[in-house]
Amino acid sequence: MPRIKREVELEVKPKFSSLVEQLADELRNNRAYGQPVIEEMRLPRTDALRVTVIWDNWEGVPFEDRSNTILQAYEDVEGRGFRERIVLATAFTFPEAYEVGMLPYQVLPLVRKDDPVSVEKCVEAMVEEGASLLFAPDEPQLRFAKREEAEACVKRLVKRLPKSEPVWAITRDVGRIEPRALD
Amino acid sequence: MAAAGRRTAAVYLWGYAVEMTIKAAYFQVVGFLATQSIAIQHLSAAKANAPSLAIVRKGGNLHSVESWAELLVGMRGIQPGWAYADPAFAGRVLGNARAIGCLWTETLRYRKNLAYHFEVDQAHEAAGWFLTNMYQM
Repeated sequence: MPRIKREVELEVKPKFSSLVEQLADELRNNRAYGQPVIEEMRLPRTDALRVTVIWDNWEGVPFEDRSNTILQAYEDVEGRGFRERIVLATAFTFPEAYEVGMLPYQVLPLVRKDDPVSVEKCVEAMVEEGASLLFAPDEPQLRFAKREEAEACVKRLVKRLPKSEPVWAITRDVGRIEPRALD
Repeated sequence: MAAAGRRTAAVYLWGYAVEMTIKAAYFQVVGFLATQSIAIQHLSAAKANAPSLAIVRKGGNLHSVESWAELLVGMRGIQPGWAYADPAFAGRVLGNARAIGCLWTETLRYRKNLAYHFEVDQAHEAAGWFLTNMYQM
């Protein structure tokens, strides 16, 4: 009978090499704003890390490939040892993260006729800040996990658009009525 | 259910309880709070981690209780201070997961067959072990 030798494939090569490169660049540059949002959570008592990357570029990428992409980008930038500290690498698009309640804070432009800035300028600044266009292409949404992050974003928006301070509002979701509850 | 003759349904429910118990234990180990939502992205991320722990997952979906038990034990094994105090406990986690994994799939709820009494007893015993030991997992 044939004797067939096979090996368990321990290394899964990421299929989305351009995303690996883009994410690696983001890890190197560590920008204060924009997409992706990369959250590293260190677990107590160990050096282990849980990494979450919220990024609209995940749209259309299978979930497992997203995780492998994150792990490879970390290995490229931080080395093998750092990658092995990551016990869970999770990826969401902004709408997905919003759906599971990770982004309850939103920064909104409330522009009136006599305000010194236009809606178009606000939208432009929001997109530069990393607003998601996946909720609706013509209505970018700036969403955050924490109030402090939303407040820091407003400060940057005011810097980008001087005198726009009264325009920006921060809202917090207080829960949604699930369609099933109405059945 | 088992007492009422709904034996396959009883096996299904016990298996489902085991699946949720093991998954909850896994996510507790990787630092999730009890109130934190677990999304399909988290489950897939855990699955993606399996090859690095030399675990070959059984089945392509996210329901294999054996694979989740292996992931849980493997994850505890690689982190300093996370391994079970009694190494034999890891063997019991895997053994009981295997026992129920032989009897249960998530598609059992669509089946019209009737489980044998001995299968019900085996599923009951394995599920009972998980529910008794869930806080040590």
